[in-house]
Formats: sequence, structure tokens, C-alpha cells
Amino acid sequence: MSIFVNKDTRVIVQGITGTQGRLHTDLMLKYGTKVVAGTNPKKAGEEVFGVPVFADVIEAKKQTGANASIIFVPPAGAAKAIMEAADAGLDLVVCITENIPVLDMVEVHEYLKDRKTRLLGPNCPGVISVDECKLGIMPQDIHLKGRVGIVSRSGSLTYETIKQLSTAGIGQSTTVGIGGDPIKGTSFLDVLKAFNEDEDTDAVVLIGEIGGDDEIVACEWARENMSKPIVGFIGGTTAPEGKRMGHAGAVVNGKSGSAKEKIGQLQTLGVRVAPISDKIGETLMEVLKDRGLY
Amino acid sequence: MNIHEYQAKQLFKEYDIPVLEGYPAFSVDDVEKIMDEHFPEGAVLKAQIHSGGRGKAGGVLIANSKEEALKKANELFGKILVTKQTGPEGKLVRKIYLEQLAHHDEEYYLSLLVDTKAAKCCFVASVQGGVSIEEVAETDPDAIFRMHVDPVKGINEQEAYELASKLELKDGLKDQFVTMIGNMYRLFIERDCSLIEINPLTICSGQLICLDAKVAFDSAADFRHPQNVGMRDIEEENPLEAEANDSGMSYVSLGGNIGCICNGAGLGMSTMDTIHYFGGDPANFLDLGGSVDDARAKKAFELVIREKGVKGVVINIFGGIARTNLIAKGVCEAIDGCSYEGPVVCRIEGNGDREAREYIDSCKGNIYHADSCSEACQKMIELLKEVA
Repeated sequence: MSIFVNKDTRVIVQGITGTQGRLHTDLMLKYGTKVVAGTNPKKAGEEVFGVPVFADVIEAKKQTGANASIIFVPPAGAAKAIMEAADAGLDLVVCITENIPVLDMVEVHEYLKDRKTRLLGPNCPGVISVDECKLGIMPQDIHLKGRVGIVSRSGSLTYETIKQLSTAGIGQSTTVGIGGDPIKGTSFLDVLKAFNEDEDTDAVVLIGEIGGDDEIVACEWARENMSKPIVGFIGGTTAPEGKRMGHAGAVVNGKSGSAKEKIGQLQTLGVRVAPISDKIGETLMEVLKDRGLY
Repeated sequence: MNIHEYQAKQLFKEYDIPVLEGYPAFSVDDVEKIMDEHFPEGAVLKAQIHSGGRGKAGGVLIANSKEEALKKANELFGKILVTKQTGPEGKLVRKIYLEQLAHHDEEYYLSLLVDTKAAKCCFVASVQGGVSIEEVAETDPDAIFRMHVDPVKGINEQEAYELASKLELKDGLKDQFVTMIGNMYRLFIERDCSLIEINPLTICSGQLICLDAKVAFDSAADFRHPQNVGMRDIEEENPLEAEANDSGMSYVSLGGNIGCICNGAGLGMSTMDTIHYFGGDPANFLDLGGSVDDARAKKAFELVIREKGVKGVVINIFGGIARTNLIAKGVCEAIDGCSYEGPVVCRIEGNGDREAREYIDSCKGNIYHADSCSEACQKMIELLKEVA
């Protein structure tokens, strides 16, 4: 097993005909992901790398039996695309698009409340279950199949971490990028819960950032409910207060949500935190050894 | 994106949110004209800079005659105001807002923003106005009231009246208050605001009046609001940050001596943290953003070395999809084409890194390789010690 996606996941690419949509459809197909359909209201009937294009998600699902989608639609239409996927009743929708207006996400959040669809992102790299399904834009050749789960708010830092783990011979089950936006579909807590249930995941690396308290909420839950070890990293320890650091969600407002405070709280909750990103692999290895898992 | 008080108050007028009579002045001549036409009895002169805490910094002055107004305007134009929010370098006053003199008693705080945790718009109000809300949150958190807005149904009128009661507004004012927050909400939604803040909200002659007004827009929604973009005052922005933003990158000035170029916000932040960890001090942080090419990388390097105090540059790239050879090409072109002689340490890994290395090897600059972020940061710190 693995979480959120596996070898049976059947994918629709929303916005398949754009530059990013085409590029990543090709890369996902090469990884072995079952990309079964694409959508573009104006280009139904065309094909992209042999993948049929439909006018909308409902039609694409009906024709192909897809259960997940990935969105490469520009910001102006991204919120609508997410709601369209929810209307079609897909299990999972991954939204890669960044810079979606916050009020659009308020609407989306409300819309998804009573629907079964899980949204991952927006502004995220997606999810990969190694050797089974890549539903995202992460590079392919850094992964190694194994039993560590990764959940992260940052794309680039996640790739860096995966590389460290793979180089050290520590494989991954699923890596989930939840995205850097302040309003998002899937939280750290949602992902920890899923990893806790997953029999193929033994430990979790949690990569957080300044801003918000998502990491703390997740680890508070984990202390009571999860026996699998968690290794943490929080980026932005030295970020100046009130400055945007590239992610809309990564703003320290006053004291709460600062990286230093977060690290302290995580440690209190029994999470071992790597002091710098280059030591995430090393810290994980220590913890795995302590637990007799390595 | 922040706008000036005078622009915010213009919006308030459009949305029937009560403000005093006022006019912006861009020169002393403007001040003279406005005083003659509208305020022969005197006015308040308010420096227009993108910062709070102007009053304490001497940016809000009272003039009881035209002569006094002209004298004070002369002092204010061209003055550098240093507030808690501007940093020690302060901000130059280029515009003044002239507003009618009015007596007021109570000072309330009122704002509207998106509570991202609840994923809803939220009004924040307090009877303790006129001071920073962060201060109130520290000293007297119970004096702050919140009211969330249902994204579908909008403001619940009963809750709005309850909020007015919590602020202990008199009955007549409650109706004004409820109407006003309805208009605030309409402005917030229709113009994609990220913040509307009124501090203080006051009562003048039995009327609720917004004595100050701060409005910020969600820049992500610029595509549907050309009128928001039109209110941008580029002179108020850090020129390097503004230039980076306009090229699809993000940039933050940090004040140290090591420039920092990365791809991705997370990697950038952790590079900055790593520099600190080994005892260095980052001068800035530049995130190249998605779909970067050589032209953008070149621009990035040119921006980073323009920051005052930059003695060396660390480049930390983990290219998944981004083609690192193009990034290296752009950076090397920038180095070869400029007079910068400081050290550059590159950690470049991922898609195209062999070719990237070739570019770096053939570059004439004082440029080094590193195999990891830690190595790059340590190397840079050593190199800077040697120079010193």
C-alpha cells in the first residue's frame, strides 16, 4: 500500500494542452502513472501523448473511469477547476497552480466541505507513491522505494530531502507536498493520519516552515495517536518578522508561528528536529536506529 | 499590495464607509490651494507613507491656519519618517493628506481580513483603538472580539448587532455600525482585499468616522482588478524587491553580507538558515521562481549584487524540472558581464548539472563549486574571512 495514490490510480490532467500540462503529462506517463484523460473545454477530441482530451471532468471520468486529477489551469480558472473535479466526485484532486486569489480559496474550501473529494494543494508539487504513481511535478530519478513517508510544505526542500534519504539508502513509501498557500485542502494532520494507517510506512519526515501552527496541531495529535516516529524540520528559523518569503503562508506575524517557537514545541511533543536541512537524513537515521528500524 | 491612506479613504467614500473630508497634496502649492478652497479654519496634515505608527514618528501634524499648514507642509515634504515598521532607514514623505479638523472621543479598532485557519473572512474589533492591535492582543486579549463571515450567506445581521453591543455602541450608532461593516465586506470581496484596517474608528458629532484607513490588496487577484494595480505606488516599495517581483521572482533584503540565490522558497529559507547556522549573515534571499531560464538567472544575479553590503554570493539550486544548465549559463553571463569581483559559491544539482558545471568552469569570475548546501555556506564564510 501507500497513501492517496497507488498503481490503480487513474488520472485526469486538467489543463493538459498548456505548456506545463503537456510537459508533466509526458513525465508522469514515463514514470508509469496511468494518465487516462485530459480536459480542455475547447479542445475535446484531441490527443496529448496519446491521452484523449475531453471537454470537462464529468465526461472524462465517465469515459475513462478516472478517480483522480491534477490541475495545471492558470490562477484565474483554477478554483473553478477544483470545484469541477469535486462535482465529478473524484477521490483526489491535486492543484499545482500557484497564485490563486485567497478569496477564491475561501470559496473552494466552503464548496469542498460536504463533498468527498480530497484536495491537495494548491501551490504544491503533488504526491508520489514510489514506483506506483506520480501525481505531481517532482523530479523522477531521486526516489527510492522504501518505508519512510514524507510530508512537506515546500517543493524544492522536499526534493533535497528525498535525495538525501535515497543516497543514504533510506527508501520512501509516499511523499506528499501539501503546498505553501495559507488556505489548502490537505493539512499536515490529514497526512499524518493517513501515514499512521498505512502499513507500508514505518516513519515520517515532516518538513514545515514559518507561519501558522499546522505542524504543531499535527504533532499534538500524533503524540496521542501515533507510534511511528516523526522527524521534523522547520525552515525559516532566521526569517525576519513580517516579511514574505516566497510563500504566501510563510509569514511570521508577531511571535506565534515563528520557526524557533515551532521547533521548541515540536521537540516538547517528542519530535526530533534536524538543525539544518542537510541533516534531515542524518537525524532520521539516528531515530530509525534508536527504534531498531534501521 | 499596500496602498496609501488617501487612496483607501477614496475607496471608503465609494463604498459609503464614513470618513472626514480630505484631499491629497503632492506639493506645497497643492496644500495652499486645498487650504484656500476647503480648510480656511485649519486642517490635519498626514504624511502618506506605506507604514503604520506615523503619528508617533511626527508624520501627523495639526495646522490652525493656512500659514501654519504651509510651514508644516514644507517641513513634512522630503522628511524621512522612521517608524516601528519602516526600519531604521525610514521612508521619504512625498505626499500629504489634508483632512478636516474634528473633535472625537472614543477610539475603537476595527479590521477585516481572511482568517486562513477557518478559511473565512473575519472582522476583528476592540474598544481599545488607537494603539496597535498586537499590543492589545498581548496585554488584554479579552478586549478583542472576532466575527467570522459565512462565505455563502454573508454577514449575519444579528451577529453584527452583537458585535456592536460588545463594543458598547449606543443604539443609534449600532445601525451605523452594521451598515458600515456591510459596506466594508462588500469592498473587501469586490476588490479582493487582503486587509481593511480602521484604527482608530471614532465618533465625531454622533457619527461613526474612520479616522485612519489601511487597505491592502491580494496581488494574486491583480488579473481581475486593473484598478487595484493602478493604485500601486512603486516609490514606496524596495526597488530591488519590486524589480524581482516584476520578473517573476521573489526577493527579500536581509541586511547581511552574503547574497543568496535559490530555486524555491523552502530551499531559499533553509539556505539562509544554514548560512546563519555556520555563523554567516545573509544580505538577501532571491527565489528564482518556476520555469526559470538563463535570462532570468542573469537578472537574478545582477539584482542580488546590487544590494548594499553584498560581499559574496551563494547559489543553491536543486533542479528537478528546472534546467540547471540554463541557470548556470545566466549566472556566468552576468558575472562575466559585470564588474563584480567577490566570491561566488555554487551548489548546483539536478537536471542538466554536468553542463552547468562546464559553464562554471569556463567562467572568469571568482567562482567555486560545492556539493551540498552546508559546504557552499561554509566555503563562502571562509572566503569572506580571507578577504577580511
